[in-house]
Order: sequence, then C-alpha cells, then structure tokens
Amino acid sequence: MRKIFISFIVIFCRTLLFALTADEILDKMDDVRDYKTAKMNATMKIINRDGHTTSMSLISYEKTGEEEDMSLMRFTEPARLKGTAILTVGDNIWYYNNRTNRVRLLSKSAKKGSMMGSSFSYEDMDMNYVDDYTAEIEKETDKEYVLKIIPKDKDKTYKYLLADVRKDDFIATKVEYYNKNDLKYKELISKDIVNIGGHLVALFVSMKEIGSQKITNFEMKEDSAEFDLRLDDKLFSERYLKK
Amino acid sequence: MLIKIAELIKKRYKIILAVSFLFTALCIWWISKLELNMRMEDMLPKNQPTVVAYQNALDNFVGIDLINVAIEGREEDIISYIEDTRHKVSKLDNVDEVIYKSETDFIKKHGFLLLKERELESIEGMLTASSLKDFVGGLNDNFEKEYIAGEDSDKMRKDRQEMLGVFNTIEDFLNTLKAPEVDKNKVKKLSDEFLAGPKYMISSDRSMGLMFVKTDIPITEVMVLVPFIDKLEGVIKDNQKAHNVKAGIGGFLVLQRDEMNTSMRDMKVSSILSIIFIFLIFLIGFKLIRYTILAIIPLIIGIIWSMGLTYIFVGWLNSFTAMMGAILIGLGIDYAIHIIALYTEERHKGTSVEDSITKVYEKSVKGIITGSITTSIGFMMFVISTFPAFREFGFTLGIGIICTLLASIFILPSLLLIFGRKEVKRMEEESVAIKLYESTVVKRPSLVIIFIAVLLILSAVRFKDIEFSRNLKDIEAKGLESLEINDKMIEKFDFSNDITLGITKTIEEAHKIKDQAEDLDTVGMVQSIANYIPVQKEQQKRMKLLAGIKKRIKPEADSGLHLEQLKDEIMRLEANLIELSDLAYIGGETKIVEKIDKLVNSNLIQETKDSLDGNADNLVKIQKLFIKNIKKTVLNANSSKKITLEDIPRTIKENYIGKDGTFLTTIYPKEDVWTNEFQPLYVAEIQSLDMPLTGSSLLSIEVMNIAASEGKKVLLLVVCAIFIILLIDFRSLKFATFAMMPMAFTLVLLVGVMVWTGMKFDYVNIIALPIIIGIGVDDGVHLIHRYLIERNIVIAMKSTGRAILLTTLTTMAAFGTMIVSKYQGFGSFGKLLIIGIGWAFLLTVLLLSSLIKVTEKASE
Repeated sequence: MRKIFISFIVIFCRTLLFALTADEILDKMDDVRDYKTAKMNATMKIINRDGHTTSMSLISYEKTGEEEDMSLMRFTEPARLKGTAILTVGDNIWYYNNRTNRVRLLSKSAKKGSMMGSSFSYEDMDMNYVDDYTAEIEKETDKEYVLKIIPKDKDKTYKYLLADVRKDDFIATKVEYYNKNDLKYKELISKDIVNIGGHLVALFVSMKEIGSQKITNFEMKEDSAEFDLRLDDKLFSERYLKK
Repeated sequence: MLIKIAELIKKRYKIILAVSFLFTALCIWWISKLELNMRMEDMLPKNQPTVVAYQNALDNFVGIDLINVAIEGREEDIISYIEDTRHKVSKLDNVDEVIYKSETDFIKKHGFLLLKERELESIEGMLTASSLKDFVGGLNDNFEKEYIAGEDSDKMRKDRQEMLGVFNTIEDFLNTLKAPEVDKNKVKKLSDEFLAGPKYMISSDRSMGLMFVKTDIPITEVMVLVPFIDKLEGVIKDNQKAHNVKAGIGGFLVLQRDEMNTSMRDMKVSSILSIIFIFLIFLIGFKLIRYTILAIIPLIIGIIWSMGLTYIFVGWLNSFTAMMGAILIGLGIDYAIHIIALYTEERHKGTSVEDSITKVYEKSVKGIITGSITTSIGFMMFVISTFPAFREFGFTLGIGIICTLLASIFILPSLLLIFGRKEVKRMEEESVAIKLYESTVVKRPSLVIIFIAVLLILSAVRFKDIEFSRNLKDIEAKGLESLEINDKMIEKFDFSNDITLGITKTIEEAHKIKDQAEDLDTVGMVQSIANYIPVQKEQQKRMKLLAGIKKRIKPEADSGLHLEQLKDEIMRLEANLIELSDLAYIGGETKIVEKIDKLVNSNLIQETKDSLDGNADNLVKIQKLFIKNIKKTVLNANSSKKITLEDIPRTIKENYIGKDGTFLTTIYPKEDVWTNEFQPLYVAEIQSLDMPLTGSSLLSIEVMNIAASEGKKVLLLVVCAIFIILLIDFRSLKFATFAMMPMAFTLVLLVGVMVWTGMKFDYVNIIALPIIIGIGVDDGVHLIHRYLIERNIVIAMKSTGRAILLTTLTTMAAFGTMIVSKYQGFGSFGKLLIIGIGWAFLLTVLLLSSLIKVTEKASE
C-alpha cells in the first residue's frame, strides 16, 4: 500500500524509534506513515539553471485505501494551471487538464519519468521501503546514520540512495541518488521540520538534478497540513477530477 | 669568481657587445619562423589515449571539426543566402563539401525504417490518411501517445528542437488550409516536412539558419588553414549584404584561428605596454633617462635570445609560453634595477665607473644570481612534469630567465662602461617610506607580526572554498564572433560543438556503443552510422510493420472533406497543444511554451476552423494534393530491402565511415559540458563506454585536469627546491626559513584574496603559483644578503628597499598589462601575479624585517 505526496515529505523527516539495524530502520520508515488521510497546501517552484523560475501552488490529498493508496494533487496557481490535477490510485496515474477539460491515463512506465517535468519522478514520491528496498548502514556518527538504500528491483532509475538520518529524531535531512555508474545525479534536502498533529513534516523539500542544475522546491506553511481528516473516496475518482 | 668576471667585462666589453649583437641578429631570424600553436592535443602526452584517438580520427575522417556558418535574418532571406553562398563556397580551394540541407531524399526513401516500432505505430494514422481529417487525427494521436500520456515524460526535453520544428509546420499547414489560393508547391513542401522534416537547417523561431563547411585541410596545417578560414570568411561576409542577412563563421577550427590571433595581439599589446610602464617606473625611480634606456636594452636582447632559442629547441609557442614576452619583461628588468641601483649609489659616492662595476659584482650580482636561480627553479620544475605543455613552459621560461640574466650581467655593465660615465646627481637621503618603516616595523615588530597573523587567519578560514574552474569559457577570449555564434547555436538549435568522438572497428560495435551511450543520463544525442542502418532484426520488424501500413493505405484520397470531423480534429489539435504547453510550462520548457502559446493565442486555429466552410473548393484541392503526396512518399518508401552501406548517401558515409573502414560515433552532451557540476558526471559516464574516446572538448578537459594535478605537484617541488637553494646560499636554517616565510604566507593570502573576491584557479592561472614563489622569494633573498653584509636592517632596507620596490612595481606593471588581454586566461594569470607579487613585497618588508628585528632583540 503506497502513499504519495505527503508520505514523500514525511518519509524523509519522520522520527525513527531506536538505534536499529539498517533493515529495521527501513521498517520504521514505512511505519511512520501512520495516518489514514492527509491534506496539504504547498508551493512548487522549478528553477532552471538559467535562473528561470516557474512557481505553482497546489493542494494535495492522500488517503490509505483498503486495497490501494490514493492521492490527488491539484494546482491552484498560476491561472493557466488552476484546476489541473494529477490523480494516483495504486499504479495508475491520470492527468487532468482544466483548460481542455480532458483526462488522460498515463502509461504505466510514466512512473519512472519526471513528475510533470519537475525534478521528482513519480517513483521518487512513492517509495515502499519494506517491500522494495534493502539497506546497509554506511557510516554512523554520534549524531547520524548514513544509510545506503538499495532497490530490490534492478529496473529502478537509480542504483542506490544515500540518506543522512539524524539520530536524535531519525530524520533524513539529505538523500543522494546514485545512478548505475555510481554517480550522484540527484540530491534531496529536507529542512524546517515541524510537528503537525503528531506528524513530523518538512516545510521545505528541495530536489536538485546535478547535471542540469534544475531544482524543484516544495514549500509549505505550518498551518497548511492536516492529518486524519475525513476524505471521501470519491475525491480520488477519475470523475471527480473534472470537478 | 664574480670579481674575475667583472675584470673580464672591463677588459673585453666591446667584444662582448659585438658578439651579443650578432647573436641577437641570428635570434631575430629564428623568431621570424616561430609559430603559435594553441592546439590542445599538442599540450598532452602523445601516447595519451585521447590524443591517439584524436590523431586516428584526424587521419581517417575528413573534417571531423566542421566550420559552422550561421546566418541571421528572415527565413526567406536566409534560404536565398544559403542557396547562393553554397555555390560560391564550394568553388573555394580545399572545400571538401558544403552541408546546407538535410538528406531528405534518403529520409523519404528509408526514413521509416529508422523509426522505432512504437514511433512508427504512433504515426500510422498520418501515413494511411485518406483525408485531411484523417491526417490531423493521426497527428493528434501521435501527440497524445508520444507526449501527453507517453511513457517517457522526459521526451519533450529530448525532442525539443524536433517539436518546435513540427509546430512551425503545423502553423504553415493551418495557414495553407485557410489561404484563399492553393499554392501547390507549399502543399507538397508541407507534406514532405511532416514526413521527413524541414529541408534547410533553420531555427525554430525562423531567425537563424546554418550551413557547415567541410575542409580537407587538417588542423595540424595551421599555416594553410588560417588563410583558408580568412578567405572563407571573406566570401561569407561579402555575400550577406545582397541577401539582407548577417552571417558569420564559428566552430572549433575558427576558434583556433581566433584564439591564435587574439593571443598574438595580447602578446604584442602587453609586451609594448610592459616596456612603456617599466620605462616610466624606472624613470620615476631613478630620475635618469639614460640609465632607463640602458636597462631596457639588455632586457630586450635577453627576450630576443629566449624566443630565438625557443624556436631552436621547441619550435612553437603554446597557450602558456605565448605569455613569455610579458613574463620575461617583468622578471628580467629586476636584474637591471639591482645593477643600476648599486651602480648609481656607488657613482654618487664618487666611485669611478670601473670600480662601480666591480662593486656591482661584489655586492649585487650574487643576490641577482641567487634570485634568478630561485626564479628559474620555479620554471625549471615544470620541465619534470609529465604534462608536455608545462614542460615547454618550464623549459622556455627557464631559458628565458638565464638569457635575461646573462644579458643583464654582461651587456648592461658593458654598456655602462661606454654610456655610464655621466655624473650621477645626489638623491634624496631619506624618504618618507623609510621613516614610516622605522617607526612601525623597526619599533613595533611584534604588532606587525600580529597584524599579519590576523590576515593569515582570515585567509585560512576560507581556504577550503577555493575552486578550480573547469569551464573553458572562463579562459577563452572575450568578444569573439566565433564564440558568440557558438552560444547562439546552443540557444537556437540546442546544438554545441562540444562533442565527444568515438571510433569502433565494426558496425555491430557502433550499434552497441550507440545503445550504451543513449542509456547514459548525461548524453543528449548519439549520431553514428547506426542511426542510418538499424540492426538487421529491427529492420526486419519495421519492414513488416511498414508493409502492413502500406497495405492499409486507400488507393485514392477521399473525395469528401468530412468538414465537421475535420473541425473536431482541429479543435482536438488545439486541446493537445494547450496540454503540451501546460506540461512544458511545469517542466520549464520555455521555448515550447512560448511557441505554442503564440500559436494558440494568435487565434490561427480558431480562424482556420471557421474558414473551412467557406474554403471548401480549395480544401478539396489541398486534400487531393496533400494526401497524394503523403501516399506517394509512403508507398515509395523502402519496406522490402534492408538498408545497407550502399544505400547511405556519400555525405553521411564520409561523416561516419573512415578511410580505414572504422566507424565514427558522435556523442552530444545533454547539458553544457563546461559547468563544474555536469562535467565530471558526463566524463565519468562516457568513459564507461567500451571504445577510445576523443574530441576537442574532451582534450580540453584533460588539459585542465592534468594542469590542476601537475600544477600542485610542481608547486610542491618548487618549494622544496627553493628551500634547498636557500640553505646552500645562506648556510643558515634560520635565514633560509626567514626567506621562505614571505613566499609561503603569500600563497595563503593570495588564496584568501581569491576566495573573498570570488576568483577561481584555472588551467592557465595555476602556473602563476610556482612563478609567484620563484619571484616572491627574491625580495627576501636580496634583503637578507644585504642584512648579512650590513648587520643592520634599516641600512639594509635603505640600500635595497628602493630596488625591491622598483623590481616589485616593474614586475607588477609587466604582469598587470596582461589584464587588458582579450584572452581571459592571460588576464586571470596577470591578476594572480599582481596580487601574489604585491603580497610577497609587503610580507618581505613588513614580516621579514619584523622577524629579523625580533630575533635581533631576542639575541641582545
């Protein structure tokens, strides 16, 4: 069962419980997603190497379904994107364009690619550590673990991740993505971690593509996230996309 | 020994001068043959795999480095210019080929077999269309399958140029549908463009066109290549006015010519300016024109000897040694300053000319020789480097130092014996600077030491932030048209000259490498013969698929227009464009956003839709022509015979198949290869490919990497060697260490200034470090030598202070002239030397004196 956008922000910043083995840490990373539903307002900024910045606001909903996790991300700004949305139910991704009022089901393999042209892939935002990964502790200091997270599926776009996990609250503040040639090609930074309703959330998450220098920042305010609220399954339907 | 030399000079000065002038004349003749060689491959070891592969590519492939002709103007003017100019250019000697259009005939014939099966399936609707409605529907299907709901979400970025071209074709197509008259040629052109792409290489904003000129002159033949490029440029420029366009040339060969010309210009300008500045400083320092002229004569002679001997032993000047004139002016004048300073001091005391010469040899020449040895060691250490460019630099400058030293200690005293008999005026006894020196350094040496310690700490805290630039653009000349054209090409065509070349022995290997390279994250595009001859198995599948498509083509175009459905498809096209634009907007693909938004907001789509009902007669004609042409192209396309080498056009074959039967693969990086972040990723990834790699950008990167690592090695060797020389010279660990300290701390402060001001090391300015050490230690050597004679730091400073100040100022002036260089590498080299030498002087005067004073007090 997978969760998307909010889980992504929580996963890299949530407290892990004890000084554990690497695989136990992975277990805990999945365990931290202990909410049933979530809602969040965020800003997504894409900054190209030449400094050109595209700024978007969005509202995101998530729900742990009985069979599948569901998420909906809907743009609220700028005007040209207002209402445009991405719906994910399990492995299916739909793209809705408000200007044309059309819904498209993306191909299954689109998950590996960039999410709407950002530095994140759909795959980055949907990670199930227990089922899909193994881990090794690369380094341990007084304050943090450096965890090497290796996907079981060799078809993943990255070969492994290196995550800096703080010991006091087990928050991963930095995650480096390494490709098949052992070269770092992406870097994720999580900052401004706050506790919202018992859930640790990063108010600022930044993904940088090393080669292109393209950066995608997710930013949100402390009062913009809610957990375990009532969300109807209809919200995550193809039909609702057009509403 | 030195006194004996002084006696010899006094006896034989006329013979010395005569021999010197004769040798100078010979050297001038040698200099006339000296070449400037800026080629990267000649800077690297000959057995370096990249160099071997580059030589191999040069030997087997004609024109691996093309000359780009960029034409700016209106689309129709650009095309008329291309058609006219290509004839004129191809008539020039040494032009192998002018590439001005894409191989549309080959693409129309075999192009469908070059498409992946999925791509072929995506365009089936367009290929089998029997009406305009079907065709636009097929186009819509293709957009939706490939870009909107496709599996590769990065495809838009990869296909950016192709997509922009398609939007232009769509724009023309819509304009044709609503036009009041049917232009048959335009309809045919449109159907060809949809299937085979545009004929000419025109940018997506239709403001720039490209042609490529292939020459048979190898890059090694600089003397033939430069006049050829000049001639070609003449033709290109002469023709621009007649067609109302702006045209220019670029590419690696043109850049080489431009950099050579710029370096020569920089060399001349900085040498002349150096001489002028030094003349002025000398005049202000000594207030004697006669002695100023006498000091400059041996300097110029020494430099002429150095350059003449460079021709004999090396044969050319490279990117580093091109600066030798200015470097030697800055360093060589120091010897004359020390000689003239002591000579005039002695003459002022009433000593005779002959005895003054003896005194010069007695008191000053030892220090001069030690100083020149430390400086030449700074250069000579480069000779043991494994980097040929450094070896040439070290050898050339090492010889240069020896030549200017010999000229100074033999020719200057000889000249003084003839022209130095004029009485020397009394000079100011005590300057303000000396008073200040006494009140600070002499009276409060500890305070000075603390002040310097604070500066050192401020520098040291930022030490880790110093960067080494891997960006060739930080070094190249500013304001060159060839560089501007390269930047414009990247902007307009997403195309750069910074390609990597690889050679394989078989076509199967070429396929393997192409597949491997295309899988790399940092690679944008791969071009090789494999692009034109897919593997047999794939060809088989595509032939089958195409044969099926052909069968599904209706024998005739529909007689009806299906207007309502056509309108629906046109509105679907608008929706697809809007969605594409939004996806491009989120992905930061600004060019695509601008292009589509312009198209959608122009109302062209709506106007076309609205015009259909009133333009039915024309539309029937357009449909008939358009569908007929599409059908003809598809039916004539090869679906029965696998593509073989015989089918490939000569141009393509020559590009990718070598004289020895090997195959060339060209790899285009996805991003700018000159950024510090992308470059190591790209280099590491392409090196995982199983073939020898080369290319001008790769050679440049290797030069930079080797320069960085060798630079550090040489620096360490220079420090060690100089310390040993100082130990031998002073026979005292204390004074050898004292002499080293200003130089060592100079490096710390230099790096501090660089970090605080945002300067970076690069492959040219890195060589300034050993030079700064070599020069920086000189001031201390002179001061300690005089102190050991006088045993009083104030007297020692009074006697040598002016000479040290003047040598520092002249050296700074000589190197400072490099800042006006167009070639940025020379400019940053000059800046580093000015800062380094400035610090070395200040630290010698302040720190070294303070240390001597403090130890004096301690021993008292």
